[in-house]
Amino acid sequence: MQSISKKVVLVGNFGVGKTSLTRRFVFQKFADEYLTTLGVKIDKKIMNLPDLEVNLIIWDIAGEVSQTKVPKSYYLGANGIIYVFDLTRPSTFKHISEDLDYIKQLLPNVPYILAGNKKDLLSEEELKRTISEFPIPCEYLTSAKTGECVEEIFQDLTKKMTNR
Amino acid sequence: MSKIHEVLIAYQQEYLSQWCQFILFDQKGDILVSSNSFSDLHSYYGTSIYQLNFFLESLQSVIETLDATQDELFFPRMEIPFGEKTGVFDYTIKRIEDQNEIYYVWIVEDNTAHNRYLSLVQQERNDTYIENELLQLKTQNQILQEEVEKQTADIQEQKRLIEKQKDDILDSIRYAQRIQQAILPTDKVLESAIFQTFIFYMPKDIVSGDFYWARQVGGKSVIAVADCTGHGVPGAFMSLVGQNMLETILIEQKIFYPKNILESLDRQMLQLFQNDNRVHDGMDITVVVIDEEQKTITYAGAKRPLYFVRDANFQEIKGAPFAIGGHHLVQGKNFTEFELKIQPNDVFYLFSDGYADQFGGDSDKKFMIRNFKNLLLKIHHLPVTMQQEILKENLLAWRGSRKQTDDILVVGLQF
Repeated sequence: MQSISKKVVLVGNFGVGKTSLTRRFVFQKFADEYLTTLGVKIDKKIMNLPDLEVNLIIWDIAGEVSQTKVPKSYYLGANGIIYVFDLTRPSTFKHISEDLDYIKQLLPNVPYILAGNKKDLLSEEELKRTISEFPIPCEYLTSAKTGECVEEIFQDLTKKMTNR
Repeated sequence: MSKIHEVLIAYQQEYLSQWCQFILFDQKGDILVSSNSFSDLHSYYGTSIYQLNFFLESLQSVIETLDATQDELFFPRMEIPFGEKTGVFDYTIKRIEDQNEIYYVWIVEDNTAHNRYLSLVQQERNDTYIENELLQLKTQNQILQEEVEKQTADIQEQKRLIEKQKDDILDSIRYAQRIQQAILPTDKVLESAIFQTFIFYMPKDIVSGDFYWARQVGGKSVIAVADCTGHGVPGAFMSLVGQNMLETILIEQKIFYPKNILESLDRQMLQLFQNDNRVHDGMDITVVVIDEEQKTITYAGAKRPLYFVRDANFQEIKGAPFAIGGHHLVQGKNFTEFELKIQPNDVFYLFSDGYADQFGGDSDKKFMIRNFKNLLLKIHHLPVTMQQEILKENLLAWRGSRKQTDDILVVGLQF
């Protein structure tokens, strides 16, 4: 079976759950305690697609209020982006459009996925209200705590990165 | 000393004062030599560094594009786990060209101790920021909730006031209904008449714009059925005005000819509203005078016909094409009257347009005049109380769950 490597970068505001999503995806673990990421944490997980083994090298980047503050070298060679925001904190999705414009400028033609995390903390009614406040549509509402949609975002991004 | 050692030592000189590790690898990625090790890498010499380290693996394509113009990449604060602990390193990758040979040196600078303090500061900064943000959201939600509660209370108070006003208005209208019903003639008015009467009266609202009026004076019975402009309260006001005028015409002016009754009614109505151009109200009306001695019935109508059934034949006399009152510009209305000899078993019907205009049935259409005529023809021979009951049952069945369209009034006179 053919094997390839793809660099995936997780970006977004601090405290939105990028490290928790990575930890859930790579190790199937979750901890309630919040420990800030200082620079970059790198993990690796193999994703199997039909006839193709994809080594996902996941760069979990320290959160910043604006993505322009992230060192540009972190984005170098990225094949896919996951932009994570916190469904309980509107400030983390207020500037999605501007952040994505900046990222697209750095990485033209690189696929990205939006993930609204911490779904488990909202009621159905709160979730509806929050969704109506999104500046652009978000395809994935995730929970690193319950594991909801975590596997799906990485799987979807892998397909996009490999054009499958 | 080999050439590659010389290269490495040359670069090491620049970092002498720091705690660094140097790993030199070639264009294929094979580890050539390392120095100032945190760990011994001798056993990995000759192995591809891209297979050992996934930081470099993910950058292989980028490293390969380094050239003389851009020969260095810097990656600050890389958090690397070591067993239970985590180290923080700054990574630098340099491209070295020496005598047409290209090498790469990976410089690993340990900043774990230095970053421990930074990490604490950063953690505290983030925690405080998130706490403040959540607190602010909570406060905003509380303010919003209080505002919603206040607005809900205001709305409830307004609703209570509106309901009270509605109750007061309904009380007034119900009282007005009593007045209107008290003014309508009772069965006793025509009890000594030579014919049987039924009155099917069904207002759309509490009070009605349709009214009937009857008087027996000498050997004559005068009966009117009117449909005033509109329905509800304005219609009811007009009906009071109309009844009062008919009373004056008959009792004071002693007019017993339907044509003259209509003309007098029209004059009075126009006079009454002559000072206000905004009022164009009036009424459609049927008036019949029955002379019991002569056995005649005389009819005149303003936009209302008279139906009658004689020897099982349905017949219709059309009224004048104009209403009583209405636009002041229409002057000199000329009403016509018709006199008929009454024959035994004749049945006459006076009515407003409400029955035929009622919406209903499977297609939600008007009942229509044609169906109304057929119904009257079918039931004309029955006792008056039964006719009234059938008219009511038929109307309710046709209407179903729909609202009543207009006031409804049908008066039958059976000889």
